[in-house]
Amino acid sequence: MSFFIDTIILITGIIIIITAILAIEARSLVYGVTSLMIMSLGIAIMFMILSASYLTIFQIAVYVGAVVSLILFTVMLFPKEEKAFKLSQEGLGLLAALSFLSILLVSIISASSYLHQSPYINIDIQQWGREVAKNIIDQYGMSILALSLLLSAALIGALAIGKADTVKVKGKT
Amino acid sequence: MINLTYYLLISAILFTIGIYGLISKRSFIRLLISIEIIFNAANLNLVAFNTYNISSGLGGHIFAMFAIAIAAAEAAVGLALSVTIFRSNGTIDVTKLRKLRG
Repeated sequence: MSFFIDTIILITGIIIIITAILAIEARSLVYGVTSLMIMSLGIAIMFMILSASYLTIFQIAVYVGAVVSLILFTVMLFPKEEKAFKLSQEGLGLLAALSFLSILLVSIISASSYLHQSPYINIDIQQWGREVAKNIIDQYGMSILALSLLLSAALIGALAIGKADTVKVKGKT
Repeated sequence: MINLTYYLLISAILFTIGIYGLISKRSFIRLLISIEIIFNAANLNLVAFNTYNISSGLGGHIFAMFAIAIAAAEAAVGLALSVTIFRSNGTIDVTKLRKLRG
């Protein structure tokens, strides 16, 4: 059973990395966003394996269902992307990313002996749900309130940004 | 056997891919996609650390939930900005946006 789960995790990890690269490098933006959607689903599977079932549902509903769909519909409004490669910029990005990755890898590998590497923790889903609800109400009540205000402000801001231009265009015509 | 280090490695690689996209790409939407990848890497890190240190409570899981909600807000505003930029400039290439540079 453990071997089966390990295989799933390994394959999911590889899929996540490949789709993340495709999301950045795909020629068509639509394919890029589709890759991002698959990557988000992979992350949701990782959450499920990490015993965060509630977060899996949240990830699929909010990320895959809302955010990625929103990006996909917005992308369809734009014409085809210009193929303007700046090799120096790509090289600089690759160099910066690789140096950053090497620093991260060295830190992770050197810290791995100090990390708590316990086996999978299987939490009962109902118990986890109760625990999350209790935590949210007891400790993070104000944060949830602030978050809801932030989301409302973001939505109103997004509407205002879109609306301002519409009024300007109407005024002109 | 898979352990915490594996998740940290996946997260680090995702984060690096996001950084690469932010530096090398010029399309506004590609930059947004890169930011979303970085958000996902951070969320995976938070959840992995929390699950492997369950005695510290469920703070990591709840923080990841907050991060997902904030990413949704960021995506909404970013996409509205991209549509507005495209309407006014006819392009979403960030290197061609020079109006505010003076």
